[in-house]
Amino acid sequence: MRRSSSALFLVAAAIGATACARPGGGAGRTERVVCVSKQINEFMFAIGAQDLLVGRDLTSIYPPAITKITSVGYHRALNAEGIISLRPTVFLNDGNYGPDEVKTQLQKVGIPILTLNPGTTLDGAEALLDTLGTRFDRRAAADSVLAAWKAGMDSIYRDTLQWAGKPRPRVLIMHFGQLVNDYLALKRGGVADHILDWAGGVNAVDSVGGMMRLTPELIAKIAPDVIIATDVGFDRFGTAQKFATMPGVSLTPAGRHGRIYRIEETDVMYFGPRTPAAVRRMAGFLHPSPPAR
Amino acid sequence: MLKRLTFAQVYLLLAVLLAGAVVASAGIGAFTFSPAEMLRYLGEAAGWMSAPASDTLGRNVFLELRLPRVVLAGVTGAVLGVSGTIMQGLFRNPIVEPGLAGTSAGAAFGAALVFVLGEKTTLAFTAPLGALAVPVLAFVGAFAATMLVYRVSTSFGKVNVFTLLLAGIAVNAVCSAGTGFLSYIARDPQARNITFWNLGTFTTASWRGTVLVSVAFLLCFAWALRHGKSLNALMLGEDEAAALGIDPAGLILRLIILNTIMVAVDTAMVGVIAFIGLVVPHMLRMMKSADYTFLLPASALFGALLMECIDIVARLVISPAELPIGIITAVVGAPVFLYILLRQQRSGGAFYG
Repeated sequence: MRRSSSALFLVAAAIGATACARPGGGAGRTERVVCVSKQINEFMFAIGAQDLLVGRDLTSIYPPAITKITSVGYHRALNAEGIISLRPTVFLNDGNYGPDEVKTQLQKVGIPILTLNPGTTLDGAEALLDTLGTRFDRRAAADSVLAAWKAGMDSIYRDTLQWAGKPRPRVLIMHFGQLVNDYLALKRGGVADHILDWAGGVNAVDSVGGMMRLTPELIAKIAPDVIIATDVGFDRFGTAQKFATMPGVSLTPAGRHGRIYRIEETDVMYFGPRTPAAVRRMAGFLHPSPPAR
Repeated sequence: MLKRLTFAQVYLLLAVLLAGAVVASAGIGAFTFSPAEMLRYLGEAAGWMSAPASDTLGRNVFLELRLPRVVLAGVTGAVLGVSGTIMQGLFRNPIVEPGLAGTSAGAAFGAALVFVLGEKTTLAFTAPLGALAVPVLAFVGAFAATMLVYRVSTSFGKVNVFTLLLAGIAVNAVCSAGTGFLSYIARDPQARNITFWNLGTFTTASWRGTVLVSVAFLLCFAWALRHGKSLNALMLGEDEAAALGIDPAGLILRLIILNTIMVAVDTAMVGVIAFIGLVVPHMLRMMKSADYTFLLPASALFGALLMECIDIVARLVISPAELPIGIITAVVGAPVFLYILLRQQRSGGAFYG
């Protein structure tokens, strides 16, 4: 949940001397990529560069085909030797990996590290996809994905006009839940908040930045009209009816009217080519009978 | 079967097994190295052979990642084994290990302070310490916790073992609460650093850290070896030990200090690894002898041997990823320990035979 205001532009930091020396495309046939960012991994698949991937992190599970690629473990608990044993020509990441020593260990054996930071903006994510297209010689594919993505967003922007002057449901996004009934609320300002906004909703949590731990009393106090739960937390209960029995949730308008919906975590954690579809799905939840144009 | 061997023969047996485990551990993993390759890399590193340009990747992985890791694992096993021996001797109580007297929890709290408040914050109080921040704060935390336990449980120059254990439990609770609070206020990556650090890992091994841990261990170990006979005397009780010309209070203080240095520096590097400190001295006692002049060196060798084997498992189970060490020490160590306990009870053998 990094929020840098200047993240409009993609920050491509190539660390290590060899990373700079390697040409962008051209002899990219023998490129072997270990990537520990779920967003970048999804983008690699989107531009048809998945055959270059030889390693992924444990949390990169979209698209489903990626699970056939060797996992190098959790992205915050990597071990350098496992990564190196896949003999990558580049170690791709979004800056969120650990332990810190992995960086120096990879540098010692001369594996180039490429850190691409998409920030939390749409422009940043689009620039990331663009960079990957150039870096891995998938220019045409990247351009067509980008064009479809931008067209999708344009259509979303047009659709937002229909929410003007209409009442917007107050939405609580409940994320994760490692322990039973332990949930985090996504606050304003992030990717999920933008998606809510485009889908004609408003975040029921009115503070900005990152996540907030929820308690039953807090959920009842927030009193959202709609609850959106990410996959792991929702699937623990299986159905909206069962989810609504959770302490606190049962007291909210959303719980009383059964307006609890499931969404994939990856849909609301970062922007990508799937964002327009995610907005439409969200709009379907928030406005079950969309107003006529 | 070990009972028939002399102490020297047991040391030799353990040393041979340890050497075998070290070679296996150095060769097995995400990368596999044959003994010939390992010798060649070592020869090249020492300058005895000219380094061929080919396969620099394998050579770098072996010299920069694998070797420090193997050494660190061995030294860690030795530290925990010796520490367990010292503490069980000090407290004359078989359930004691570094985790019980507040040492580990204090070190964990110190390290968590660095993870959460020291990195990239306005406080940045650890900046002058640089890379040594974690070991230094871990030592401060461990020493403060252990000394607090020691002070609370001391009256009229004598250590009351039961008060000491109770104080240990209380101090542990305070330290874990502190660590828990820090991980609660931490940002996501920091909190996960604490989580994984609490399970122990050797993946972060570097030569610098390994050398630091090894030097701390060797100094403390050499110091500890001189106290074998005193620990034997202490087994009789503090008054009896005093009658034998030993100053129990001074002995306990010295041993606590050297034990804390050793454990804190090691814990700062590899995280919290449970169970080794508990299991190693027990197994040696049951298999051979409760004589501390034997237990101290043997627990170093046996701890190192056990840790090398566990590290091999950690690297192989879900290769090329790997499991946290703490999970395997518990999963492998606990059943073995239970089996030995059961066998010991059935045969009616004395616990400290």
